[in-house]
Amino acid sequence: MTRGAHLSRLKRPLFAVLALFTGAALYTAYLTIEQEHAMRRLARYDDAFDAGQGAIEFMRLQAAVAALPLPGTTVTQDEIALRYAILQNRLKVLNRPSFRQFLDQYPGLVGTLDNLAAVLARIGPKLNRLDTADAVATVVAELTPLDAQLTRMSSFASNYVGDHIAADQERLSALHWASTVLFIALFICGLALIALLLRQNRSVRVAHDGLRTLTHSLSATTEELSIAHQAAESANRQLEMQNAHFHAALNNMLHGLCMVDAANRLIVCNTQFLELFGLTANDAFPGVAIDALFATATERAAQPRRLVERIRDEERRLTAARRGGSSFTAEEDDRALEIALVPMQAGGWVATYEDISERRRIEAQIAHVAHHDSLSGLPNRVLFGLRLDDALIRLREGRRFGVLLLDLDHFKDINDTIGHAGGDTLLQLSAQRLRACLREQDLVSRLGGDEFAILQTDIAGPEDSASLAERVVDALSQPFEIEGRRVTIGTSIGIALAEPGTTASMLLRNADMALYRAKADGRSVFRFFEAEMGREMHARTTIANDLRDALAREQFELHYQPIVDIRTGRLVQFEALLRWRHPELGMISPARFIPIAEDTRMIVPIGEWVLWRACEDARAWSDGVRVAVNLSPRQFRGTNIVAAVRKVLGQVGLEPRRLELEITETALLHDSDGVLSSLHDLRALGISVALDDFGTGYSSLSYLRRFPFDKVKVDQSFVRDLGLRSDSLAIIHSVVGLATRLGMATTAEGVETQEQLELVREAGCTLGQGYFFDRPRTQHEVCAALAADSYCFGERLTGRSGTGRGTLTVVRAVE
Amino acid sequence: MPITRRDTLGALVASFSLAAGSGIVRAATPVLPLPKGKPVLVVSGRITVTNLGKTAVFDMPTLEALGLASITTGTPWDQGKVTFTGVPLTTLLGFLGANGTTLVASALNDYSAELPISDFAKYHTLLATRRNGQYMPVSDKGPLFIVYPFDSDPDLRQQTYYGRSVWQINKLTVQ
Repeated sequence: MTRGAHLSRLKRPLFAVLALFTGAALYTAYLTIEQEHAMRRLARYDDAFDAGQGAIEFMRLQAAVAALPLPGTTVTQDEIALRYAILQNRLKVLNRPSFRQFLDQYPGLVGTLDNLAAVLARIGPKLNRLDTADAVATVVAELTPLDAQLTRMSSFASNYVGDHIAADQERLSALHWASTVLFIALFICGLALIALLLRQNRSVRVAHDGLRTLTHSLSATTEELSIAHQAAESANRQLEMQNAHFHAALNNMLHGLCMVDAANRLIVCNTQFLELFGLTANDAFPGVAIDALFATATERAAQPRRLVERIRDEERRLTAARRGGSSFTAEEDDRALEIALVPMQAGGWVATYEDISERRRIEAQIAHVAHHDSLSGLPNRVLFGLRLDDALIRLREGRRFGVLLLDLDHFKDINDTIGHAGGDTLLQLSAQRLRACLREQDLVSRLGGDEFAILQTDIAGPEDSASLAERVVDALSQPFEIEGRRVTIGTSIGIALAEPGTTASMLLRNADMALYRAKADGRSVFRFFEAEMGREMHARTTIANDLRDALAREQFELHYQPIVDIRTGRLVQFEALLRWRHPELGMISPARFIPIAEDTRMIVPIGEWVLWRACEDARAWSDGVRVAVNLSPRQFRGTNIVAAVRKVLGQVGLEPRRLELEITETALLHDSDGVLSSLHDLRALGISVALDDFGTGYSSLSYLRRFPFDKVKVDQSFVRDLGLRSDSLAIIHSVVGLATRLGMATTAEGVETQEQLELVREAGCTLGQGYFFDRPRTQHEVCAALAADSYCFGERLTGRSGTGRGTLTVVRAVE
Repeated sequence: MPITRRDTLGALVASFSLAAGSGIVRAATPVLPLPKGKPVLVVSGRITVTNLGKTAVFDMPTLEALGLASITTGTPWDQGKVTFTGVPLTTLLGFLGANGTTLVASALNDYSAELPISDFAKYHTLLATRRNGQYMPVSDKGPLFIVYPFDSDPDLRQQTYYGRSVWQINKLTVQ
């Protein structure tokens, strides 16, 4: 403190010195200005000089005038004029106000200049006439009185100026002294200032030293404090770390945790607990009553209200029971929690909460996957089997049920046409429609492929199943919209009703047989299982098995029926017809075994054999007689029919133009583009193509436009009905008319009477086939007849009916 | 020293015959003819152009023919502003090929003053022939009067320059 006072004491003299400096500087400026003034006064126009000059110039004029008359003088009139002019000039100069003021100060000098002016004015005119001594004397007399006055004026002026100079010099000297004193004073002040500064510096240094000492002691204290602080901090850190560990452990648990004291107040809980119940840290402060906390959780509705309430109820029950550790599961809607409760020694308890909703959901999902078809979402074969077993058990209680087995008609064909993705969509849409047909207690399952099974429970009788089957058939016959295409498909249903004593496998087999029957009966129908079906199925199975060996055992034969030009009666060709001579069953009709062959795909090798045999046989016939061979739609699918035909023709060596292939509309029904392409290829080989059985099946005239058939064969059913139904003739007329316009030949099949022949000929048919002409015969018979030239029907065409069988008799005779 | 008319004329004649006799007339050197009228100014000293002996003698027309300039200023001897017209001293000295540092101006009343030649370029000092357009008589500071432009520079308004403002000039000497 004393140092500070000392410093401030030093400041005062310092400021005083500074003020002094400032004063000195100002005074110096004043002195400088004063000095300049004095100098200026000194340098003022010299009045004394002018006065002196005037006196001299006057005397020179006076002298020149006086010298003029003297003998040997050098003074001229001009010189006198010059002197006069110079004096006039001087008078003007002296007449200035400052000089007159000066003169006015001295009474003796007042009027001097005026006197001079008056004298000069008087002598002026006389100066030109100074040729006499008198004239000169007059002028000199005029000038003389001014001598004394001008001399006085000159000396007064000299004295005056001298006095002024002395005064000014005095003042200058005083100024000089003042400057000197000031300078000395400033110098002393400077010295004092330096001394003061030095002194202050020392004071500052002393103060600085003191401060340094103080700082030292302070820093020592600080260091001690810092050590103590570090120790405290380290202890704190350890605590914090422990705390952090505890919190980390608590909040990194997978489960929610909640610790409650003996008074049922919250001690601690973790974030998982808060999240689980939609709580915040503000809700769950230590000391809050656990019931209140759960009430809040109920409001937050992060979990179903009833679930939260149930948990709290159960906890209350378990803690009241004061048992050891226990756990329970609480479930509500799709949420499930598993809670473990452990009592603490000091009272209170700890509970952990695990959200097992996801686990439950996955379990359910796995169960679903195991029991459901992934494509349609329907129960699968496994679940169907389980439910079927259940139903069989309930059957003992008298609760009847039925199994409906169904598949989609021609699904395979449609699948080929619209692609697998489209097929999948079709299955899904079908599954939806099926489900829509059912009651809640019924079950529809996808067994695989396009096969579905319905378990219809609690039925009163067969009529319930029939009505369901009708609904299903109807639902699935409605067109589907798939990838922008309209797809129509149907279903056939086989129904088996459960009877006491039946097993699951029996039920399924029976339903399958009924389904087979439904399909055989033209599809889009349903059939109940009947005992007879078992036998039928057995027969089919036998035929299917035997078909496999029929080719190798050479049980097939071809018979040939002639096709005749009904305008000329000339034989045009034979149609090859397949016969199967079964060793035990005898002759089996193609209508019976061909569908089985098609189903088992045996049709492919059989078809090839037919083709080969027919071509081989035709080669033996007379030139021009052609052979017509039927192709099954199946032969266009999965095999290269074109290559097969070309190979046979090549091997046999038959001209392609002698072969005609007959296909039915069914062949064009599916994948018609592929079939048409094959047909074009076959025609390109030179083979002709005929549309067989036209008028049956789909009977769409549009087929005629889709491929340039060489021939259309009008189905024998129309010919047969010619005499019975009037519309048959109309149909034949229109078909023949259209075919003719399209450049196609027409064959009337099944012509048996003269009358029929006349009618079809009138309708415009070009060819005829049927018993009216001849029945199918073996190759041996054909060859013999051809050799006998028996195949000439000209006479018969003339209309002599009744004798029509004559030729046949002949032929038979040949046979 | 008083200058008589006779002296002046004799000097002029002598100078002329000397120049004609020697025949030294260089084209580069301006020729100063002898004054036809009353001589008003004799310049002597370190000059190269002369017309009478080592001096250059001017009558009023010859002097004014060197080129005139004007100064309008107040003076300690006049009331109000006065316009002086005359030959700038730089023009005169330049014409005469003067080569010196000091000009001694002498007056008819035998007053003389020394003027630093450097003044003339600095202050455009004038050898005035006319005051307010009129030639000045001897009785009024004529015929020639050295004038500084006192109003243009406060430094000029002091005795040093008042002393250099010589009137009734009839002689200049370059030193």
